[in-house]
Amino acid sequence: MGAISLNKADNLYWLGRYAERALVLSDYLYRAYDRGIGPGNEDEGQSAVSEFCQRLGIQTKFASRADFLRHFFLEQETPYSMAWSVKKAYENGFVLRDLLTNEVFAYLRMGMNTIESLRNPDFFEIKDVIDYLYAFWGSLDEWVPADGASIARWGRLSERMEILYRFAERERIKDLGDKLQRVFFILDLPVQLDWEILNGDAIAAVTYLNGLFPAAYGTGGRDDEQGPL
Amino acid sequence: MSMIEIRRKPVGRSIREGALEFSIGQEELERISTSFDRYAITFGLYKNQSFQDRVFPFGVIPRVIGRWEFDTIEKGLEQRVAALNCFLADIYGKRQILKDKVIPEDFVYASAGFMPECDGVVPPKGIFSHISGIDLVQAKEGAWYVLEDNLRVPSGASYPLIARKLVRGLSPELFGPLPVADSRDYPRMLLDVMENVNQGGLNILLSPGRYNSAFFEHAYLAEQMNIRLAFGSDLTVEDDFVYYRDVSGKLLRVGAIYRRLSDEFLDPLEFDAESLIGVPGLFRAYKKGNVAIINAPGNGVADDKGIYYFVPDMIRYYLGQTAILKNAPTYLPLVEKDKKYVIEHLRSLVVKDVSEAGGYGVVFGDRLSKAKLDELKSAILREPRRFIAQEVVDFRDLPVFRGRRVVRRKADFRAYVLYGQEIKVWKSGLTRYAMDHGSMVVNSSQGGGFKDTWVLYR
Repeated sequence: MGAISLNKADNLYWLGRYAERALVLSDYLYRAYDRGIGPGNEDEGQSAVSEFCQRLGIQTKFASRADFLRHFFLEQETPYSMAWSVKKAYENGFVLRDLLTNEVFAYLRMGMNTIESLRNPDFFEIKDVIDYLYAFWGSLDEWVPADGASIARWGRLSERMEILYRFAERERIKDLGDKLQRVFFILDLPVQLDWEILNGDAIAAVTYLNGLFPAAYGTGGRDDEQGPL
Repeated sequence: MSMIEIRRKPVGRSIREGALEFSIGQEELERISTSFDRYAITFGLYKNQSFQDRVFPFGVIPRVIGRWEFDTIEKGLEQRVAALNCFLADIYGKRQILKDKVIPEDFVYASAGFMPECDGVVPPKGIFSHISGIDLVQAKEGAWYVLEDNLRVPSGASYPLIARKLVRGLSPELFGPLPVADSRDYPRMLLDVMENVNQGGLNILLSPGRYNSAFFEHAYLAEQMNIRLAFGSDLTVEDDFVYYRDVSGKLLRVGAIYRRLSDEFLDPLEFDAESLIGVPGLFRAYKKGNVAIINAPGNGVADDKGIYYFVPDMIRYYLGQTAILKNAPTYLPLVEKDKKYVIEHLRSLVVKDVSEAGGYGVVFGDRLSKAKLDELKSAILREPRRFIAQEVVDFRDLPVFRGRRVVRRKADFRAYVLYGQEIKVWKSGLTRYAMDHGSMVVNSSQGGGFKDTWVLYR
């Protein structure tokens, strides 16, 4: 379809970020929870919960690991919860329905309906939400023109890189950065990632990454950290 | 008689509608319901001051209209829309129909839909109403009546369009032997309408935003036509040309806008200065002939409920023909003899406030208390131009599932008439049904449901 407006690009970018946030966090949540499973692992489990919160800069204290899990999976008003991220992805996707097509948007819808219907953070049922999100990403490539899909992927890669920086897991940064560079190529944007910054201090690297959109288009940046919706 | 059977566990016995008979399985009903939710086929409602994006209730048993019946409806609609377009051209041009006293001047100038700003403006190719949604009802004895003309921003076509797609997918075997007219051409027809008047540049569907009741429709039609869905802030006007601004700041010329917002919000420089959803300068670009607006601004004067009374006269005046489709028997309190009749028979009439739409401002005399009836009488005597009154047409009930039960509900039919190189009627349409037993209010904005409309070709 060709040209995309600034509003739509903004929604695509944040759609990518929120959809990816839900996916990545579900993985980290499970890992944190898993460390406490089994006899004698209670302390380890508690410290995993604390570490998870600390990495995301969250002050909340939890009475139990079950509370922690419920909070981050199902609380719809909590930034960084999976339910909140899925809802934000859905809201951004909603205004992009024409561009995403009905088929792609349906996966966001089903993901949101499923997580909203959950009363307990059941890992098997959460898996359905994760499946819908992966289906969303797969169908995006199938149905959405390259420029639109690439902007969403830009958001996706930025989000994953930010979370990896937060959790001090830098092994995959190079690979993700290379993928982001290819996104710029597809979008015909004259951006060369600054590896000196990306390999340096984590806060500076995240600030740099988050400043790329939409400044790379020369249309000025946004100071709205949470995106348009 | 053709029998439609969808296998597995049928819900109740077979149900007849028109020339067809339906027997539908519980599993299929559930699958359709799931599909509507999956694709978020929604029609938003404002209730208790909050917006609810609810899945639009779908009655799976379609309305069935036979070929000969539809042929008459089609001819009548083409005739009606031709006359209404002549009327709009005349009202914003020479106003001959007023000079010839076919319609009283007051009716036009006092209409909320009359826009003096449009005086002398001729839209591209002289077409005013590109997409007309004409609401009809079928009385129990079979006669069809036009209830209302919608020439501003008629909505709803996307719902039967996608419903047909889902039902085709669910029961493809049905559509082989059954002579049901293919309805998939609506996006193509709509695009042809846009191309016909495009002044050079992109086709755009301009939406007020995601909190519009019909946002699903805006997105779906844009997707199906493969055109851009834009919000006001995506468009800009420079030197009286309209542009779509892309993310890099590049300006792309816009040639035709299928707008889904009301006239008053189109351009804050010309109309409602508070409008944040319009495009400043758009009306000036339109007046200069640099962009087509679909439908043309100012059309509200022709779909005014008071002007409706005169449509058969317009047909006679402009086309020299007798109206093929009847209006529901209507009275204008502004006309002295009608006023007398309305006041005397108020209890048996339905009264409509001409400034309202979407089923609002409609009151049935027989449902009012004595005090309310007196209040209404006083209002009619005080402001006769504000109301029309109609005989209540006891229109046909159609079968609708309520859980596993089949009940019957009042339903109307919105036909879509598209004016491109020629006037064409879409061979389907939106059948809306009332949710409650006995209710005649079928409007989607009032919680009604919808059905697909199957037009038979033999």
